[in-house]
Amino acid sequence: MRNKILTLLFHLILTAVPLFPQGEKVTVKGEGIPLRQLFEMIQEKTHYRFFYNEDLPALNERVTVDARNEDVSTLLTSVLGQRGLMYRIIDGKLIVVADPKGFQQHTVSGRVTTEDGSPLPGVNVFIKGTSKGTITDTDGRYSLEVPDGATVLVFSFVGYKPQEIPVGDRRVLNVRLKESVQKLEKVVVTGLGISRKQKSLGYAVTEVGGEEVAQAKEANMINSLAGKVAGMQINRTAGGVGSSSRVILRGITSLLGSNRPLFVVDGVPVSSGNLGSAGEWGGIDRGDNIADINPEDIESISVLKGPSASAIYGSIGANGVILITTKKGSRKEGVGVEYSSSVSMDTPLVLPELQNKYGMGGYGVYAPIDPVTGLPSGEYPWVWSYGPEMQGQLLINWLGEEQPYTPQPDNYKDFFTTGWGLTNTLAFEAGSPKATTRVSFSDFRTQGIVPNNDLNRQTFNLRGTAKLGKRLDLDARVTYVHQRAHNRPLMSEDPHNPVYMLEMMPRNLRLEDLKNNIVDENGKEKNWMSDIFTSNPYWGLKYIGNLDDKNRMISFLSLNYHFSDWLSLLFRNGMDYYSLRTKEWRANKSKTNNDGYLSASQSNNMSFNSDFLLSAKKKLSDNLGGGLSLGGNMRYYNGIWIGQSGSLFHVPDFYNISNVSRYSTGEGFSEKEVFSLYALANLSWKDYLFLDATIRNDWSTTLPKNNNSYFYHSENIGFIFTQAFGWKNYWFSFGKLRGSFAKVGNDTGPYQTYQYYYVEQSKFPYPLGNLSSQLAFYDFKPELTDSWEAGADLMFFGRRLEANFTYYENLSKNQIMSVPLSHTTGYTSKKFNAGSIRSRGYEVVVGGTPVHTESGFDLHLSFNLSHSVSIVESLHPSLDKLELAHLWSASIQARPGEKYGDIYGYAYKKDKFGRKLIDDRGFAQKGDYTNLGNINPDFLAGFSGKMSWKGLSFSFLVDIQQGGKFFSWGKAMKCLFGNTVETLEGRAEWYATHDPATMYQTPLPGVEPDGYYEEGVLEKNGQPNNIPIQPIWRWYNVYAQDIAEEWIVDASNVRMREMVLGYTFPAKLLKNTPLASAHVGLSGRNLFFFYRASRHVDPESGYNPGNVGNGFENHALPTTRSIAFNLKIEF
Amino acid sequence: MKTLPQILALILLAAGMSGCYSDFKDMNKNPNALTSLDAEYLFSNAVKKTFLDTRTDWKLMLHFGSQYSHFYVVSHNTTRPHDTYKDNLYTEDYFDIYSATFVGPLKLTNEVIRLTAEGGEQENPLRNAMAQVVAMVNYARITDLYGDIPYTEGGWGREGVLSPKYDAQQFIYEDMMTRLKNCIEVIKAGDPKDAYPGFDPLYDNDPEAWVRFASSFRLRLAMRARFADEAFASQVISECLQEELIEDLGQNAQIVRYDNPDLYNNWDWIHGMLPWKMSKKLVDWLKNTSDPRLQEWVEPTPFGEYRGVPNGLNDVEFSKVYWDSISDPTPALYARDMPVYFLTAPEVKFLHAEAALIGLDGGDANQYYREGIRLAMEQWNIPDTAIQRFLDHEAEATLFGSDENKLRQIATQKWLSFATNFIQAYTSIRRTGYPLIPQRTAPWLDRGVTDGYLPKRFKYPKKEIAINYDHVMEAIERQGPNEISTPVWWDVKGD
Repeated sequence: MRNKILTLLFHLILTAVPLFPQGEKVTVKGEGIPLRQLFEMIQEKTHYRFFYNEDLPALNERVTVDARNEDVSTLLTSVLGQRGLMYRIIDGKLIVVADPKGFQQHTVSGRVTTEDGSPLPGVNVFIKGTSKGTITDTDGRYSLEVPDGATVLVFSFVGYKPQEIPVGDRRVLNVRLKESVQKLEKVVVTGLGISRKQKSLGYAVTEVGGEEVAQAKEANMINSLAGKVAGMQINRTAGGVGSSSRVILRGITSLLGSNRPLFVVDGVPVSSGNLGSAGEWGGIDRGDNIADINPEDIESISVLKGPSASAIYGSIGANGVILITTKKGSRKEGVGVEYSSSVSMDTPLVLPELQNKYGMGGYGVYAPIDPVTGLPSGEYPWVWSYGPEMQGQLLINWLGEEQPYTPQPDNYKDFFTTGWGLTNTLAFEAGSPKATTRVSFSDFRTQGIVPNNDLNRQTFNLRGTAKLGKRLDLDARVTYVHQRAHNRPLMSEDPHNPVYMLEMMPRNLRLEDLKNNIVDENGKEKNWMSDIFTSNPYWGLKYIGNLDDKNRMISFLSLNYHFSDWLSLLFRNGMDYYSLRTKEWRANKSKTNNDGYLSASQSNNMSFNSDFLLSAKKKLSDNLGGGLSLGGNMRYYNGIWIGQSGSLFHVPDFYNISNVSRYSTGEGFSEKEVFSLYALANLSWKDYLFLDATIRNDWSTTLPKNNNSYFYHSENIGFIFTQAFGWKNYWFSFGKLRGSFAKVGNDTGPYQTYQYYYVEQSKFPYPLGNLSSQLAFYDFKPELTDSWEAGADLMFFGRRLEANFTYYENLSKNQIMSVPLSHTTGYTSKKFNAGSIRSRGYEVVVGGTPVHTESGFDLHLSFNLSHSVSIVESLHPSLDKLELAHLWSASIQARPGEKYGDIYGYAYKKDKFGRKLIDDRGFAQKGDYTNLGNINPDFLAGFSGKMSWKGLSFSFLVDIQQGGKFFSWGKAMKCLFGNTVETLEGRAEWYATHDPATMYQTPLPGVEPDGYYEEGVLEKNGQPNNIPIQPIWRWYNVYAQDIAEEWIVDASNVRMREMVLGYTFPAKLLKNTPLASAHVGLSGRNLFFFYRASRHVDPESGYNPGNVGNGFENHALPTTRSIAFNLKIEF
Repeated sequence: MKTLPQILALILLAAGMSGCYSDFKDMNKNPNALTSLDAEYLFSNAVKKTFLDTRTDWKLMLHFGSQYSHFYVVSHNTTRPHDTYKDNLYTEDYFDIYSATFVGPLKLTNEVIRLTAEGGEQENPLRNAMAQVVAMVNYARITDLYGDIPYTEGGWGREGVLSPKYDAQQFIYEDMMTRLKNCIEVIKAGDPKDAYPGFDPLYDNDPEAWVRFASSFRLRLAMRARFADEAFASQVISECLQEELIEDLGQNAQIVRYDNPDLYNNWDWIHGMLPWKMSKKLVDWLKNTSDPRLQEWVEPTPFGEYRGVPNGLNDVEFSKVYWDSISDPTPALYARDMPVYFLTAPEVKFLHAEAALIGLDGGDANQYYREGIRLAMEQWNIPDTAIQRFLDHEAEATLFGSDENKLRQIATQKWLSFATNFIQAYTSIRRTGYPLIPQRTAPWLDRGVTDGYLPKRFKYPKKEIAINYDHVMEAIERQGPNEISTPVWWDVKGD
């Protein structure tokens, strides 16, 4: 009956109650009860807890008591005294019962302190090998009865190294516990791959362990960070397996440029961006380059937010940096083999809420049958779900067959298949004190929920380190990745986007009819509706396709020469090369492409990073430490592209460029180079005051020659005030204030400082000349971002509770923006240095270990919250707004003085009380063109927990978004076509009161018309609207009038992002097997919503990973829930 | 400091990288583009884009032109709003046409004009004059549709004019008349060697043909202005009639190259995309006048009838139409090797006829009229006997009645002769009021936003208003509300 569970609450009580409280009183009555039972009775009624040796024979002796409100100590003295037992009250709570005759005991007491002498309360003190023990009081004191002889006391406390001390004959035992390094001296990877003690930093860094991205894998590893890093916003696009994600750290720094953070792998910047994304009218998403990083190879990820942290990377780091450190072999002798495997299953997470009452038709009646073809009309609105009620009546279907007219509730869902993923990784490790090697091979294959969409990827990774002689360290890595994807789903408004078609499909349409009838008698695509901008999704599966194939090599080599223990010189070369082949085709006789279509391209991209860093680090005096580094960097990038496209295939279904009758080709090339010189200095005073400063100058080829050099700097400070002021106490264990300022410059893309002519391929005897439609800008200046942040890192209760706060502000000026011109100038845009944008926000992280027991049960909880707002301060003077994105009736705009990411469009016409003004016919009306909401959340939060006990572990992550809007065009189409449950409103009433003979246009005589009532007041008299309308017109009216407000949806949601259950087999069990360790796990991603404001779709359904890509939903593929089984064994 | 990067480069190169880099200073010059180009390459593209352009052909000619001129009706919802006189759903179309013209051919003509101007990099007055003629074809197209447009300042972004002011249409017309006259003089005086030998897809660098074209074009514009400013127009018309004009079909301003897929008629694929049907207005007229072009243009239905569908049906009526019982256009109207007409000999004949009608041409209006009809039919390969039969037996083939009726006849035949230059057909209907497109009052018709009247102009695009607000507002103030029912300057004759 030992209770060693420490809760924070417990500690609070502990520190609040007087050291030796008045003895508690108790009322117990019993005749002939065993002593053990008496103890339990007292325990139930008081706060006392009994500790005793289970082997005491006296425990079963029966006693008779009748105590009324008696002092527990008095009661015990009489009861126990009679039986030769003794007891002791420790901390006013624990009653230890001992048999003085059984063995010789003595009392040991003492004080447990930290290394610098401050008392440590709550430390577990127990006798090794037994369950007997105590904990220290608020003053760090303890007292414990121990048996004489070879007793060892164990002192343990979270965040400190446990100590085992033989007691011997000592009566007093004072102990100083050392903090475990990971807590206090936590080392994080910072800019340039330099490892620094976290406590010395003047800016916020979040580190995520490699296992966190490996145990619940995603095809795009970056998604695994969602919800785990305060201030980081990740929105995936709904583009099938391996599609890209929008990643933003701390708001917007560039109005039109990329806001994606820089990704650095082992010190070398790598290409991370998107390889092709969808637009308003379609396209496919080819995923992110960063997805090539195999989660199994990741040791840790450091997220450096904001320019202060990343100033040293210069312009490319202005949006923050994500540093990925990969695994190395260990220096242990011998060979280790690690094998991990995971199988996952993906199913749609959110399905649209569709009605199942009315089928194909319009105005309440079925489509008219064409006397020539004998088929029902395929025109709008006859193919909408505004037909009669489905009651199994026999009607001619789109194939000309008589068929019962019945609901098909699953005709949306059944198109999709269950997706799966399979990952196998095999890694070998070998090491010696002089060198290490790690080789891994990983095979990842996955099938999307669209039946023909798959992706597979192989990663080969080799990392080696060696000590060459005494002074030279070598570190090198080569990663080769091959990835192939088939049939990435066509997105947004492309008629071959299957979701688009499924959303429009009448509720009585049978999928198997669609599947079995994709070709008409002329060999052309066949579909249930005649609109030629539509398609049969099963035709698409067979005759519309794409593939891409990527080969990538990422490598680096670094040499570090140690002149002495304080001076070293590092050279590092990194190369990132990839080639991408893509192909897209549409067969002849597709509805949308009668002539078919083929495009094929091949591109090669190479970036080279080369740097040197001379570092000196010296303790200048006992109190003053310092470091100085000088570095230089050269970054070179080039890209080559060759593309071909054509149409009209000679041989059907053979998609090769030699098989087209018309074709055109093109090529492109671009290159860019940036040189940099920089210096970093850091000073520390007495281990509590830390100052860092960096200066850097860049020269970029993309800027005009006289403006191509730009200088910037950063300063930051960290001050551990608890240490400086000697505040050492248990409950406030650590306190640091930090602040930083940085100025970062930015260049632009290549080739913008000349006005170019180009030539268009033609069948004339000569090419046709043309001019680029963007006007050149000859006097570019670099962009500048000023940023500052201030924050505090605090730890309480002996570091068991941790809290971090950060406030930041960025101001980006001189934005290099492409300003749209009036097309009447003959040109569409011109680049300017204009405009500024300010982002500010805060981040809060609170975490702790409320439960930690010696038996190995641990509970760790963490909560993070962030808020960020970006305000457009100014634009180019000629602009009062800048359109960032556009989709049908909605436009996302930047306007001076307004928030970045406001959605503009027509609102309903309303009175001053916000009620819709309804016209004389009962219809809502179009009002002002106005701000309908902002796409950015009010705040993002993550709540995670991890429990572990022995080999079992369970963790979860709840991802929270409050606020933020998106424009859902998919919803608009589903409603317009009468497929969603919303559209049921008023239908039965209307049909009941109107004449079917007139297609329900005229009311039945003598019947009060009833139908859909638009909410609002009549404009003519201010009375509540009482004019019924036919529901089909209600939705058509909103659509036709371009009222965007109707389709603005709240993105707030609370999602169970991740749950992982794991079990590591105990070493004992594996003793007689070749296995060194074994781990199995069950993980789930994107499991369910606790709350979701949006109907029909997951709020994470954007089609484009761009800056405002989360603001539009356009017939998005359902997001998926993924459940995986994981296995990991080591030999 | 300037050499620092190079020094740094050396250090880093020495550190183990191969020297595959270009020179730092010149790296930012795109090796896949040119910083100078001979104007002839730009000119040929400007000509191609002026007379044959996907976006204008598709949106301007078919969506608007073919339905406003009552040749076609689309049997598909997407482009219905044009036919039902709406202005809200496809405002992108207004923008696309604006953009396709200014960022298309005008960007190119003006670059040629800039390069070949006096003191320009490639000074050449002849090339300059020919480019100006092509530029004016484009300005005229846009002003006829929108009214006031950026004319003097439009298309000059390269010269730094980033928010062009709008000119009144009257000024534009007056200025174009003068400029065209000057250009014609320069072309007449020039040596063809200095023009665009080998680079002229329209007239193969034949200066005489260019003069005929420019004069005929000037005549077309002058005639268009005649109800708005009779004195000015009469003077220019008289001047033009003194010049060599397009007289026979071989002189037509039309792009046709059967052997060059770059010059295929765009309607081939556009027709493949949208199901176009024949308008009742056109089919009935052809039937009622026994016009032999009926069989040439109109496919009989499966029931063997020539049947059109009324333009402007409302949504309910539209959804009841059995489209298979409506005639399709024949491939003659859209086959990929059919020429794209811009300005033809029959049109010039009809211009002569109209000039004769008002006493500016000494010839006989009726004779011009009949010659126009003959040429217009020959253009569609109607057999001579059929043409003769029409001319001999059809009452409409001879001018009769009042001058107004004669004008109606001339305008109506001109309307037919414009096929497939539908937007000119529409413009001609607006100016003359013929053929009469009555107000849509029947309950089965959709009155759109014009109360059923044929729209009179295109709206300034939303994007243009947003970016060039002040100047567009000036134009709106001058011209009238930015509605499709606001007439342009020359549109003063009552319907």
